[in-house]
Amino acid sequence: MGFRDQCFMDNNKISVALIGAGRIGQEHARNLASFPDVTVAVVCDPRREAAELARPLARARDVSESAEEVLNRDDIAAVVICTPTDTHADLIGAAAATGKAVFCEKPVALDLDRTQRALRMVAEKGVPFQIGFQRRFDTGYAEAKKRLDAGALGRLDQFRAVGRDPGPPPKEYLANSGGLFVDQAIHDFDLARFLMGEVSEVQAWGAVRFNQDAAEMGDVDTATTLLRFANGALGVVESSRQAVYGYDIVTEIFGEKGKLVVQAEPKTPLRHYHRQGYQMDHYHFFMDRFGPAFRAELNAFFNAVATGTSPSPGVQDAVDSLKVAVAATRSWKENRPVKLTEV
Amino acid sequence: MSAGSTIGVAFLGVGRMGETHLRNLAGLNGVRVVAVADTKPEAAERGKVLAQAEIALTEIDEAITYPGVDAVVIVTPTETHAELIEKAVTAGKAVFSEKPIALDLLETSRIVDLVKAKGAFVQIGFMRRFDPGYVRAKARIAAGELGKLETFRALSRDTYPPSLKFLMGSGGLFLDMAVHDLDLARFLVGEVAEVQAWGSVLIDERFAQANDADTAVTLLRFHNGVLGVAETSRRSNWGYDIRTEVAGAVGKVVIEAPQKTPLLFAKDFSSSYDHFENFPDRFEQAYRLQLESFFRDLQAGRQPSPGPEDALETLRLAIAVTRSWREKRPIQVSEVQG
Repeated sequence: MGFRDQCFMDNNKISVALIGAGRIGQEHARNLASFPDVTVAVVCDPRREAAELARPLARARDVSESAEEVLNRDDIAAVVICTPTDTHADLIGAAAATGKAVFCEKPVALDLDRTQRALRMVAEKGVPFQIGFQRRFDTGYAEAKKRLDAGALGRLDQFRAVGRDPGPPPKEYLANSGGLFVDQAIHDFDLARFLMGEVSEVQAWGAVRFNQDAAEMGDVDTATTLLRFANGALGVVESSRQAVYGYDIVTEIFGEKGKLVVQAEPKTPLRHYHRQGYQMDHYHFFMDRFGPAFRAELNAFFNAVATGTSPSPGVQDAVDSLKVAVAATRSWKENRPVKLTEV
Repeated sequence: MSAGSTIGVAFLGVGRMGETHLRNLAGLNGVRVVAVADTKPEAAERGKVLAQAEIALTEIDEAITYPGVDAVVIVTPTETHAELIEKAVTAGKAVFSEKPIALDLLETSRIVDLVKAKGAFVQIGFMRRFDPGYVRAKARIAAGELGKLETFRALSRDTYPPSLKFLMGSGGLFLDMAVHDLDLARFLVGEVAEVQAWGSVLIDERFAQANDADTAVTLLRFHNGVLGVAETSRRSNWGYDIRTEVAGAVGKVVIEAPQKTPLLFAKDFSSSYDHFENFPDRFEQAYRLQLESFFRDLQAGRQPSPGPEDALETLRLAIAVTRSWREKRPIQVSEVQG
């Protein structure tokens, strides 16, 4: 019996454990409940009240406080991991060891060693694995990728990304985030790889402009990163932990025959005209801007599991996008260009 | 509402629209679809799977009285709405029904009276009222941010002309399609006193065969003195084209969603964006939000909106417009009585 057949043992549905019932866990719970080929057997969180809150959202049968207990159940074919970052690697390893398909929020881990160790188990067991780079599933980025693959821009010359969060995260979050490049800019690095190709060299500058917490944590709140792609194209990624006007995400690819701009404005289909001009609104943060993308990425994962194809972005993307972020961090700290081969 | 007091739903009618509603219901906390009914067994079964419901039924009445059902969602063909609303209300259930209640005023009034007499909980599916653009526009107007209102302007072009079979049972361009803009006119500006409509067949001779128009322009005079215009067309070769504008003494609001995908493509000295294709993608969010609102109001014990009386008044307005077109004269909305 192949992996695919095992998945469908429970009434022809893929039986899933949702591990982690925080904010993004609840979003995943709602999305999982709306997939007809998926049934959530258990919601797991060490905080029982969080698990109880997500159970009806996921239409789940059981709740559990122990991930270990859940991973040892053989009626579960797949796990969706949205626990705190420092637990991802161990959970991925343990889930893969028991032969379960794994969807995990990014990142696998904050360093390359732990990331590669966890993913070795995934490769060894041959279980389907997908990492939560949700932006790849946004309709704008997906359509841009399709056009680029069809050669719509001809030779690609420049990449430009702006990623600005509405406000800095709490100090406790910063402490375990891995820093701005690994935590935040990584989304744009992943898009750079997704849309343009592999990165060969980076040079990053960082600064503390407004958030003293970042300085105390040895981190920055503002950064600009130059990218050189293996195909010769050049790129720049601008990152900030604060944008007073809302969540500011813009990506531009410039090529021989044209350019593509991925930008979602306004949030509400409403223009308000008044004496000073006219006004539109912005998205607040990733949950509203990328809500449909979170749904689409999970849908793609379960489609891949159901059809026996390999989910994407997978193990290699998780490693390679982290490599760019690690290289950018090193470039900032050592104030010099860093080749990806050094990492 | 806690997990202990889940609302049980009977879902009636699993067409294309039905499937959209079923997917939305699956994501609502505190709501569980118990029974799915459709006269076609394979449709009922498909709905049961989508909703993870207990049972698929081909007898629609059975679903309404199925154990554990608190609310009924009606997405069946138009001509069955009134009868099903009546049955559900009589059985003491809360009701969400797709618009319209019926295509004639007498039947609609009868349901309004019944709902009132029973103190029943009924919402009708004018989904545009739940689109974030219209919601925000309504809030700004209500807060007086536009000052004294002066003009209303609506434009609706459907992407694909409907089939002749659909046309015959549709009630015509004004009752079937312009009705959405007429409802928004009432929602955003207030009640309409007088209308004058012109209609034409410009797209397809089938509309003439159906004694209908495919293109129309309607003038509106509101009780508060505001003047309005609604343009309606059954065809749009560039995508679903829906725009609304309300202007006042100090500002205006424009509700328009010209770009579906957040992607600009610049090439050959021009820039291009894409359009929404049709109502399911343009109003995807609104369909979800109207159901959320229905169940939130039900849980909180608040009356839902828009209710049967809105359906009645919007229908009265659409009939007045139809009559104006046929009789080629201005019509006072008060002339239209059940």
